[in-house]
Amino acid sequence: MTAGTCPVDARPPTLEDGEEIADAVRDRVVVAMSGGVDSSVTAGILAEEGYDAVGISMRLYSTPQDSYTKSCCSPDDLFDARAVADSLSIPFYVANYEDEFQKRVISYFIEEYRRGRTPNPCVACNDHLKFDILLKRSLALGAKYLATGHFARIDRSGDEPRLLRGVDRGKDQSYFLFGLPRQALGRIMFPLGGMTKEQVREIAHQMGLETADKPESQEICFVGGGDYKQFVADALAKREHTPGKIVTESGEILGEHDGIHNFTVGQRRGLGISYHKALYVKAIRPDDGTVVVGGNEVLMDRGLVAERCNWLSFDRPAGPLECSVKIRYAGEPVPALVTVGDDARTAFVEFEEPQRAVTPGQAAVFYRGEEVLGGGWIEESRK
Amino acid sequence: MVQRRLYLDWNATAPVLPQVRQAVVRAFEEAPGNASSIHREGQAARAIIERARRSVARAVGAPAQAVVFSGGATESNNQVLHHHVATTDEPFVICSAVEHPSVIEVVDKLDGQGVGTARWPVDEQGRLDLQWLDDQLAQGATLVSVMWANNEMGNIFDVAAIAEKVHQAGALLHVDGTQALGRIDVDFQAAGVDYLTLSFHKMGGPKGVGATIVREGLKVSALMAGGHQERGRRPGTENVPIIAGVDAAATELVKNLPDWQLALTKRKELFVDTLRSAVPQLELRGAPEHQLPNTVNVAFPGVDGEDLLLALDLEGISASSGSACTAGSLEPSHVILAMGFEEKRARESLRFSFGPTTPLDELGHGAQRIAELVGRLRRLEAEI
Repeated sequence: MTAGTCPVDARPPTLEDGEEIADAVRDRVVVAMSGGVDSSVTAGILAEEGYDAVGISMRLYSTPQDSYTKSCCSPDDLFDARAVADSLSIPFYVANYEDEFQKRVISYFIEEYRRGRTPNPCVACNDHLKFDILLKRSLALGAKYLATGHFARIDRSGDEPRLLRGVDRGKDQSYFLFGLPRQALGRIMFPLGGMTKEQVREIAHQMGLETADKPESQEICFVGGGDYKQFVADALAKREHTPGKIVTESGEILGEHDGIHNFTVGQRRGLGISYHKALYVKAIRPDDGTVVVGGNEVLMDRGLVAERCNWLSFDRPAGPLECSVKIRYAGEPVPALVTVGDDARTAFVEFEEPQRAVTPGQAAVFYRGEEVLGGGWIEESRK
Repeated sequence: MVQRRLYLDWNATAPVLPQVRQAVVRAFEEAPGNASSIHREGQAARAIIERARRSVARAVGAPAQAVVFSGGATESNNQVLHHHVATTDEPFVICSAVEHPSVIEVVDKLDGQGVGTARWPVDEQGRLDLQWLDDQLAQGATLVSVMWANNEMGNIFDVAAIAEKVHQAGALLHVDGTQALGRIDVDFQAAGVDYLTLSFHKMGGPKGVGATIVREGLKVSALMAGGHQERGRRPGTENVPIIAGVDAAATELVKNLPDWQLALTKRKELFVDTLRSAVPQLELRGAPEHQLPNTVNVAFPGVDGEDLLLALDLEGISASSGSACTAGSLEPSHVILAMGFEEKRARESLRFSFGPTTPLDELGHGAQRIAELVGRLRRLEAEI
């Protein structure tokens, strides 16, 4: 099984003159290599197919010498990426994007929690790091394409490339990709989109890649040890903590807390109050630090407002859009009606069935079947 | 498909001279002994080391007994600095702000241990101010550490003038001569240097070997314990074949230095002239009137040095910029930051360094290709 068996994921055309393909070097493609198995296999496949593959690892933050975490970008991961590139005999570089990452991802992450929202740093990293500055650097290096190990596909059969979900539904990462600049789709390859994770591991073994059995990274990469609440608390100056009251929707005060960054909509654990029934965070008000809680039933919302929408399949929806919407990574798309105002960057979403725990700061991504139509950032829920 | 490459990073390391390769291989084959053994094999190995010692001494104008072989200039720099501090009452160590990390980081470490230290600043062209030195010497500096020529800018420092001042004040002078060797005259005694440290791989010698050269009447102690080798100043079984390579490198240097200098000067002129005529805007960095004839440090305003460096590598041209961290990404060089450039402008710096055998025509074509890439990156920058 190789990537070639999935028709939608066919490689972009390379050389005009078919007769010369056998001898010529194919187009240069930069592969974003994190040191994990997915991007290792991506590089392996493209190198094997005859592309002039160039590996680049992004150094996004410094890890102190003593920390030993198993998520991407630690020096160990960069060494792994280098070892894989070496075994594939492709050039390999490390690009230092610490400043940009700090500005675009870490600061955003902290600021969102400070505002009582729940950020999605992976989307921010894709939008601002991988598919912006790394894509630009790839073009600067004379590459025609940037390839990553995301589980998503690009359909190049029509006039314009379309972003599709990954075939492996357990791994589909299209949710994180809604914000890509539309014109970038033509410059991107996702060679793994037609495969399952098992197949990727199998290829890694066949190719004898060092990273074949490397475990998945699950936690947020720059939060060592996985305790993001502590990370945010440490990053916020004491005066920026927003303590406040924990109240029910009817205004009953149940307790107090020492900072809204400790809460996420839908959260049940760690509220620090006892009540006669299970309580969930319903809303977070950054102005006065109030955390509103209630029973499971109050979490149900009929819709949401999404801001800063990015449309991938068209400039703007022609009218009310019947599609499905996914409001968190670990969820399935559900049927909804999406309308946009004069400004197509704001979308109003009405679910067919009420949905639980619409979380400001997360992404709302719009799908039609396999296709990612676009998406936006959840601003607020609607009853 | 094998790409023909143009190697312009001789200040990182140089291709090994054919004579060096032959000497190393021959010694592997013909001198298997341990130089400390008394039998004939040992004697043969010993003879190679002593021959190399004389060659190095001749190459840098020092007496043979002054030469102590080491594992490289980094080791030698550590050795001199630690020895000085350990054997001096109230040591006060000065180093230039543009020294190699194997000096700066040792001085910083000594500072952390309570030793008096000071960093000799440079101006925007990377030049040292002799007036500053006078003040520090008056305040009791005991050792001044300055490189003969800077690795990043190619700036040559006036070692003889510095030595005079240092000695007048009763202090000692340590000079790291690694980048000067094989490119300009390095005369240990004439310049009045007290400690000269060297490695040989920037001029076509082997890597992993260096030398500490100590003025008569001064001592240098071993960094490690455990052997009598090098008269107790560098314990451990000598790497005889590699030292045979040093012999060959030093011999070639004595034979060829004037020719090498001519060849380098010619190459630098061609490279700089071609770049100047092909790139609309460029900024040559360092102090051109006192610069190694093999080093060009240049910035192309608006072009990130790392972008250009990677693009050049993919086009088959090897250059350098800044220094790689553990993970392999580039940080702006401490040299250019010490010269007062802010980070963005510091990141624009690229270093091209070549050798006497760099093919002239390829160097000219290389400069043309650099110009093309600069143009491409500037166009891209304008589009984004």
